[in-house]
Amino acid sequence: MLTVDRRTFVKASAMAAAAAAASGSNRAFALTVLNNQPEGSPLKWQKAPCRFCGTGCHVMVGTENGRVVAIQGDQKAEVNKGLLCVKGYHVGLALYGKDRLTTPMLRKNGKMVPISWEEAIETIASKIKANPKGFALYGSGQWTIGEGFAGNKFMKAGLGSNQIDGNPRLCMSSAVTGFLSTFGVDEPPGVYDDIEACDVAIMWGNNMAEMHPVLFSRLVDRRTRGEKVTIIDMTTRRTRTSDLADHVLYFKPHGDLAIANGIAHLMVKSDKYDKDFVAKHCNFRKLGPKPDEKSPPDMLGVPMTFEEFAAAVEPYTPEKVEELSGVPADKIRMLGELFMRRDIRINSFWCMGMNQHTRGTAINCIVHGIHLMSGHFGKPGDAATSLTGQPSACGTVREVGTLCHLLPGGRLVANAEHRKEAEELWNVPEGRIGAKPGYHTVEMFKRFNTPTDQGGDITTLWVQVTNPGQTLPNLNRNFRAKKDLADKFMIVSDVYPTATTELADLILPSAMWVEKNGMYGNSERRTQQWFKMVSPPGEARDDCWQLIAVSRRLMDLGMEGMKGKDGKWIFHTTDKAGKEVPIWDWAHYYDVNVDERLFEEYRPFSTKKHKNLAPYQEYVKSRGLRWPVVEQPDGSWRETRWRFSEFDDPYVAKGKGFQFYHSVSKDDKALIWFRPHEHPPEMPDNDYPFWLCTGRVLEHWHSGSMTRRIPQLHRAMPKAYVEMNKADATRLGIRNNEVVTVKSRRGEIELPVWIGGRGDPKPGEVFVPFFDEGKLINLVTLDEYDPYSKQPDYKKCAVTIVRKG
Amino acid sequence: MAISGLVVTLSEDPAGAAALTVLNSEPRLTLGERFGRRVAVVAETPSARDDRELFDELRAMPGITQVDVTYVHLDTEPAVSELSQQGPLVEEPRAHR
Repeated sequence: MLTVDRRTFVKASAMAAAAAAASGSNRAFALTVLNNQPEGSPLKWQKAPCRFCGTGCHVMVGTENGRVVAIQGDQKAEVNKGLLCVKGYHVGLALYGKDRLTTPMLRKNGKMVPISWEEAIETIASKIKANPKGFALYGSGQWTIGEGFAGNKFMKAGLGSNQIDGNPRLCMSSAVTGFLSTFGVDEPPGVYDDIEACDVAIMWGNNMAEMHPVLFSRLVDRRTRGEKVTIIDMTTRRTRTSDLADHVLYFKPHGDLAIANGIAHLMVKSDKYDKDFVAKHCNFRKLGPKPDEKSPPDMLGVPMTFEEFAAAVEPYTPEKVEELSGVPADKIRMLGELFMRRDIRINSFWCMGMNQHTRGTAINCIVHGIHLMSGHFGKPGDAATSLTGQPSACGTVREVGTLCHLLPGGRLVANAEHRKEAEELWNVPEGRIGAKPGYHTVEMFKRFNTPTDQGGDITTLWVQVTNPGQTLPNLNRNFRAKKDLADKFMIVSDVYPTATTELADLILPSAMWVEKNGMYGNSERRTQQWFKMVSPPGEARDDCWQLIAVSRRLMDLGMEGMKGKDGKWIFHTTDKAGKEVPIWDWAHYYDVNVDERLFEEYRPFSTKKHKNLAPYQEYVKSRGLRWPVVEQPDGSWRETRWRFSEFDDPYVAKGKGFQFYHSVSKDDKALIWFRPHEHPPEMPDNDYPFWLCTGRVLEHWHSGSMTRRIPQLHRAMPKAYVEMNKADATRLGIRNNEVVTVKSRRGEIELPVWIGGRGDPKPGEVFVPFFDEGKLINLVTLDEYDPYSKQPDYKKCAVTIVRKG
Repeated sequence: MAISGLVVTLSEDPAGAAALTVLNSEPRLTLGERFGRRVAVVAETPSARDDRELFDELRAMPGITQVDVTYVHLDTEPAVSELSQQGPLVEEPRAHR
């Protein structure tokens, strides 16, 4: 219980935080009872990025007696300026769920039995040594940067294997291929500052109010200050974002492709686009021929002239776009006219609606293209902004390169020069890194879930910090088949039991968030750092230590790959006196800051594609820095907000205005793509007459493994449901809350119906959130994917709704 | 005991003024400085559950357009004991199946 003095102190702290945020300034608000606080001030406050989404809000974490007891929004953070969303202000409770994993467990005779860490590490090392080619590592956009770097080094520089992939394959890889195809380098050119500078914000299938609520607050908050900002919500169903939009444009699945082409068509037809910008800074591009029957055309395409581009978008008249997308022709014209205006600034936002899309690369490309063509690019407020879902999909997986085809710093395994550079930086022998990409996520799990004698060549799979047993599409095929495959071995490192641990053979309890040192990189290229504040429970240990310990054991077992060119262990670490620190021994893991050591080893990789990172200590001092971070003559470090724009990007040559220095066409120009509208691979028919879209809700983060253990969030949204349109429900005689079966060609689940709830699908559509591990909608979803990014489409497949009884 | 720091944004119309009157008389709330339509508020409730319910009440109140949370202090022990009183949040840990 709080004492009177402590209660007063806490209330004063709360008021100070609220007043600072309400004022919208950096004014300090004195804690009037500070002088009266009890001796031995109860709380220690330290900064950290929030554990949840890719917004990258900063929190201040209050700890006392080894526990997190208070959270407040970090007023010094530029991202959230002291505000948090409902998940963020409960983030501290994510550590204290009742069933936290605390002991390694091995399945013996069908039962999970507690074992020692020594036995766990020995088991993993033995499995890998027995069949290194059959081993795969599946990581995460929730890995810290250090964890991802260690995992990547372990696999590619150690085992010489590219069988490592990460769950951003399921959420962001189409954004990656879109950026690469357009700019030659990944990640957004703009930053969150664009939110305050735009006149028009367009949501492309993006429920920002629920998925990035703090960013949406920044947008909407401008209205409370009397600013005019027009919000256009392009969506397949009404959401909370729609409620605050000026225009809501409902489109059919894949209609976004037609809409973007329609905008380009209008600019060409009206002869109103930024001709000067296009002439100086852009080339036009189209897909070339297929190299063979099975392969798609080369992702980087072939040149096309403006005249060819104009002819390609000619059919996308407003009327044709209305037919393809369902958006009325006059609204298409409205969008076109907005893009043709030179007196306003337009910020497009997207997330899973455009990425989880079998033509995700295409739609990403053409939205970039209309911004480039119209000149709505590269100035504060003029931006095409891809938002991420995970806290470090960018910082870890995309930048560190923990995907089967990547190396750190934007390099490719298939590029000999890139491999050589990585081998030198990692100090491993030439030829250690394999040239052939490994399996992408869906393929990796398919192989793991296929009998070994039928081509299932992945036999041991280590999953860290993610929940594929809930998040993979078409779960029966891609995950649950493993249950009947006795020779397959799955290791799962996690913090709570999940749908994934249910089929694990070995479970490793992990430390989470402020139970370890870490760094994340958010949606706006902001790399952020935090220190360990509390200890993990029981025997839980850092995921990074787990990887390092296995690496050491493998070296002890004679695997030469675990040694560098100098014969030393690839994770060899010394103290300031040069003496080796046995970081493979948990008792000594925190004798040095391994996170800092790994980050400093990674930094040199970052300069090749101008993603320069500052020294670790700069991130300790700051609330994150946006790369490229460049050292100034006075020794300070300057972040970059707008890339490729001369006024802010130090790598743009003087006088250029804009310079796309990693240009695909090698002439400092970006690419404006033509990509046609195509229908989705599975569409409703007589047997399966509804579109199914899946997604998230405000209260739960992704698969809910953390947020469903926070009582307040669980109570606010306890179970999944299926949203139905009222007319559809009436036609089928379905009442609100009635339990129905949602069924596809792949599987089925039962769900209660919600009519007129938070979201409202259009007739012929249903929506199911995926946070509920008791209602696995991914038993139903389709595992078709974009041919370039390999990202599956969770937003559209065909289902039927069956009444029970 | 749950203590939260909130920023409540009032609407411009008469409902906003009415809401302010209600907030001033609400025993669970302490009002702080106003900055235009935004007012700093501290909420104090017996439990995290009550804190959440109050938050929902405020969001639903006419005259209030937005409620943002800037600070939360929770005594975690009551939250854990609340859990045990209503049974486990999830079924038995999967690892032991």
